Amino acid sequence: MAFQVLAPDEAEILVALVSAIVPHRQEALQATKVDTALALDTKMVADLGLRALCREGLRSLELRAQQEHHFRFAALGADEQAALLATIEPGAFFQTLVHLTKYDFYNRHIVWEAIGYPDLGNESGYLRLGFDRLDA
Amino acid sequence: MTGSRTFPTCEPVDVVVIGTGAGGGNAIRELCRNGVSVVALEAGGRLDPERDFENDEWTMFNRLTWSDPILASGDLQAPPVWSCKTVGGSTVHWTGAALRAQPHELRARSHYGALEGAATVDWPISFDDVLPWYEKAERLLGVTGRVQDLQTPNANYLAIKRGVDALGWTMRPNHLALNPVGVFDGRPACTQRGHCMQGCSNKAMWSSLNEAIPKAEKTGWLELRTMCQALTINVDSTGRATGVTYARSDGTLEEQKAKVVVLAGNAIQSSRLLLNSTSPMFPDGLANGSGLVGHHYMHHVTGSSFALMPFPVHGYKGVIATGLIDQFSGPDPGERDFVGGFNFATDFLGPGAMSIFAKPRSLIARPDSAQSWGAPLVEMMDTYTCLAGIHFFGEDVAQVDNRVSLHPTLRDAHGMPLPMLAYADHPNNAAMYRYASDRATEIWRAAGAIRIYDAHFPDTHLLGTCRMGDDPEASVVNRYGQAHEVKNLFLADGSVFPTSTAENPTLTIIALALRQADYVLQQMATGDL
Repeated sequence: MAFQVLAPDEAEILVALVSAIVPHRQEALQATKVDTALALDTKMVADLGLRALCREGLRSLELRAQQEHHFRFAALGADEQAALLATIEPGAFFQTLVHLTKYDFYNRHIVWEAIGYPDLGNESGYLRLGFDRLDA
Repeated sequence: MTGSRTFPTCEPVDVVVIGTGAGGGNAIRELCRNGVSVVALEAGGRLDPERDFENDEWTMFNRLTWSDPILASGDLQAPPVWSCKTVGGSTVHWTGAALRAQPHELRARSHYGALEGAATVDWPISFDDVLPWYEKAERLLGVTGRVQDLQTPNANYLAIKRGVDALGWTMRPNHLALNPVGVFDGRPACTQRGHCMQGCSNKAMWSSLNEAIPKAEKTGWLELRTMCQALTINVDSTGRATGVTYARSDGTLEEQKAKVVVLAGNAIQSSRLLLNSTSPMFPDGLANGSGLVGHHYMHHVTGSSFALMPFPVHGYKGVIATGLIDQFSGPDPGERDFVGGFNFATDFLGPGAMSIFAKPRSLIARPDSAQSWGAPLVEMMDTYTCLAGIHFFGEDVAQVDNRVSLHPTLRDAHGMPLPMLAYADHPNNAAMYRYASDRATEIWRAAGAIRIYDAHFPDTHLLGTCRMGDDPEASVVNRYGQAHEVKNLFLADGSVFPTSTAENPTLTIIALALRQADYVLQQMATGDL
């Protein structure tokens, strides 16, 4: 699957941003961060307001990274990325991206599996799967 | 199940009921069982629990929720409210807590005294007036610990109880409208799926959808019209309600004539509808001679916390609201810097909602404060299976300026003005919140928690906007929920609560609706309605 709205350089920043929002280290989840970025890109197809907000926010973030660190945002270390993001934290762009990232990422079954949430099928329950047992 | 009765719109049906939730559903069932013809108008669609309820928080949130805007201002978050727009109303997504209000809470003014800036009053009815209807409601719902056996506690409960026991406090299984073991009233037992808020797919949790509406349909006296949003209640020149104009899903308008109207749309939508129902006799909205329709909006003082325990809990397993700590809502709580009580119930969220709502304490300044992200978020989510959760909800002080009103220009797809909701916390609320939060912290520390996360949710207990009372100048409806000025108009939802009490309101809404239906039937029999 390819990004439909964002250009390759914009997509790179978005993937780095999503990865900074949900910096899980599990190997299985690295590709999921890209999937979430792709899902956000898909939302931008119809949602022109989101598209404009993201494009401007990504552009502005990249400019800050270049000015302050002389590197692309995607090439910065995790600590530097987090510090930079902390300075734009209250803004609408970042708060929107955080919400949309979490909404998508933590509703994926691969993430559930990684964090130990079993995701039973519709007819099941935990009645015979230790719901009443505290192993502590 | 047949129940496809069709009533002509131009001839008055006995009763039009607006809304099929806790109040509406019970009104519908009782009226139909007594041979009263009912047209029920439900703004939402009808879902099939077995086919349409999924183990997915966002899918079900989008499928169940009344998502038309409510324009909030003041001490509210965005969105301010989580209610349902579907057959069954908010009983489809509730967690089943079926608690009675307490005697002293129905005498709030006498018991707590006057509070500056508050409109605390005594209810016009006593606990003894409502008790027989609580008992009837509990029999209909099969409430655990009243009618059915109490449910078995889950791991989340057990993790919290360690802290409660260490403090010498009391925790016990909650009274739930749930089948804990075995079939009850033709509905199967709970299988501890833990998806209470996504709709109970096996119908073990009571809802109007899976009990009241089907029973009413079986009588042959109900016509349920779904995707029909009521826009105005119409009156004649004598001030009697004559029918309801509603919009069908294709946008066309229809009027159903009625002899009696029961309005049960929830405290926001019901007051909105009354305010939208203007006429020469009621220029400020139907039944609004007191000027109080929409005023005294209350929810509950609420807060949730989730704690990281040093061992696996798997708190998502099983019934969410399975446990109760109710020692802080009694009539004699001792020295506190607030009035009113609060209760704790066990609580949990799926991974999606947990990531959105739960935040490290440093981020909780206001409900709309910054979200968690990055390392702290990942730390919380990587330890999801070691989280336990608890929720408190307490009495919200009635204030006249907390209110629902109509936006002057913004309208929904049917042309109905959007509701505005203005709300400011009373200092009593802030003091209660601090105290309850501190008690939650005590519980977590005593239970051995490593870290605590806090959460705020949109309001689900919507109360107070058409308060009941004996004085028509100080209330909207009388002690039977009958509009003072419109004798054939009744309110059957949380809008009639003069004070919020500490308890989850659903059982009280249902008890009042049952009591009201009995009154309506008597009045119809004597020709007074």
